Amino acid sequence: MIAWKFLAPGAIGPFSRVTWPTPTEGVPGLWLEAQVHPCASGIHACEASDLPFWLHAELWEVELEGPVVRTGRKVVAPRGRLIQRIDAWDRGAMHDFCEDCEMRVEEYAVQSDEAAAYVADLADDVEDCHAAAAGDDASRAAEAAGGGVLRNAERIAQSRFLVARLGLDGGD
Amino acid sequence: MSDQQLTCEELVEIVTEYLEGGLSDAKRERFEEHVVVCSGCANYLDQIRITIELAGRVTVDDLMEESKIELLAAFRDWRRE
Amino acid sequence: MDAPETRYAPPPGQAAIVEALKRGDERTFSDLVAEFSPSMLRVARTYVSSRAVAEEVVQEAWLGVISGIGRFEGRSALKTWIFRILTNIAKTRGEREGRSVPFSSVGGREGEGEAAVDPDRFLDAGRWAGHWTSAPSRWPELPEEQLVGRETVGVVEAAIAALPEVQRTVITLRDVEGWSSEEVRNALDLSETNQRVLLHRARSKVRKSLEGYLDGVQT
Repeated sequence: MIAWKFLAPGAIGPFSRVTWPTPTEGVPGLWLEAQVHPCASGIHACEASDLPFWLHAELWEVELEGPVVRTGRKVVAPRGRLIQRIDAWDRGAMHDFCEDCEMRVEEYAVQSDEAAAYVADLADDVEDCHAAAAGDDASRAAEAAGGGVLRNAERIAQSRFLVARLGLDGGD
Repeated sequence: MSDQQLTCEELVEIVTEYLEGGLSDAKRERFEEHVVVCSGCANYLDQIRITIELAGRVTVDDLMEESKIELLAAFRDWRRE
Repeated sequence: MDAPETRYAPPPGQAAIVEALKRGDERTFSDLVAEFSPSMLRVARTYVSSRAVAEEVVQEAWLGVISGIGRFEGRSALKTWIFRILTNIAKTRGEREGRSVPFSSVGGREGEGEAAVDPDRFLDAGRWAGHWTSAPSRWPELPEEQLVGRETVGVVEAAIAALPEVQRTVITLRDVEGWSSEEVRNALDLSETNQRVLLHRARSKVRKSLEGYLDGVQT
């Protein structure tokens, strides 16, 4: 199964701190087995709807093998390997993602004073180009304006933006 | 407010549990999602990791040499019996 | 027929070590003394009043190991067995000195309600209640010189030395000596929760000391 994975700079797992073997000349990276580290239960990866929750420096296409289980906001498998880097996820895309969130938050702000408080936060996120924070702030603003329903809709909008902007074609 | 999301104050209290693998899957996910969003907590988690690594470089008190020599003698005596 | 999970399996290599000891192999014994004595000293020190007494306790424990190794059947890990001998002697000695057993009130008096980080560091109220007021800074990645320099390790060492005795023991065994959580629990007869709480408090304090030092250094 093909999915996506966000990594820290240098193809390093943001939590495991394991360095993933990277592809060379079109050949996928070596398979990584589920880590021995106690805080990981296997190889974690994103489907399209999960992407906004895990935004990080690098985005990679990953192939998962073995029984793939969906749990919470991720899929988990016993092994995975990197196929290719999604180069489109660069600083420009991060900035655009932030601005896209900002635009929706401005609309929420019209409906709700509580949501309006987040406009300043989004402005900071845009300036810092902190995509994960922008996504989180926008979802909080949505919730303030329209409860869980709007929050979920906000996350879907974020996911759609990413899929379109990065050419992910809706994933698996 | 979304009751699922962790605050930073809550996160620093469960850092050890996280590193020990003691959090439920759901809680671990909340923990990691928060770390992705919050650079303060990302730094805190790194600080704890660095603290652990530095602790590993501390040298420890050991028995004095005379004590070790005495013990070896006692061991030899036991073996002779 | 035993289910595999219920039969104890000793660590690989243990059988050979035990056999060598029973044969009276001095090298094996010396190596064992070298390997375990620092941790034994640390654990003993938790129970008794001074370093000198802790050393006596460790000596006595090793003599107990020598006299008992002929009967050791490998039904537990050698390490666990050695530390049981040690803690029994240490407890007795500690009681003779009038000290209370250190791990008996782990969840209670010691450090009750202490927070990992000063509550001042978090917002009290508002929509960001519970979030950082002043966020922790990014420390230089290891192994940059500044971070692994002797001074920094010295700061950690001093912070560990300043911990309450039981927290000091757990963090020393886990993070300094590299024992697993299970080994510490077995050796000190601690529950998972207790061990984790002690480790958590210890690490939090040491991190704080490091932060104080590094914030001062990074001008």
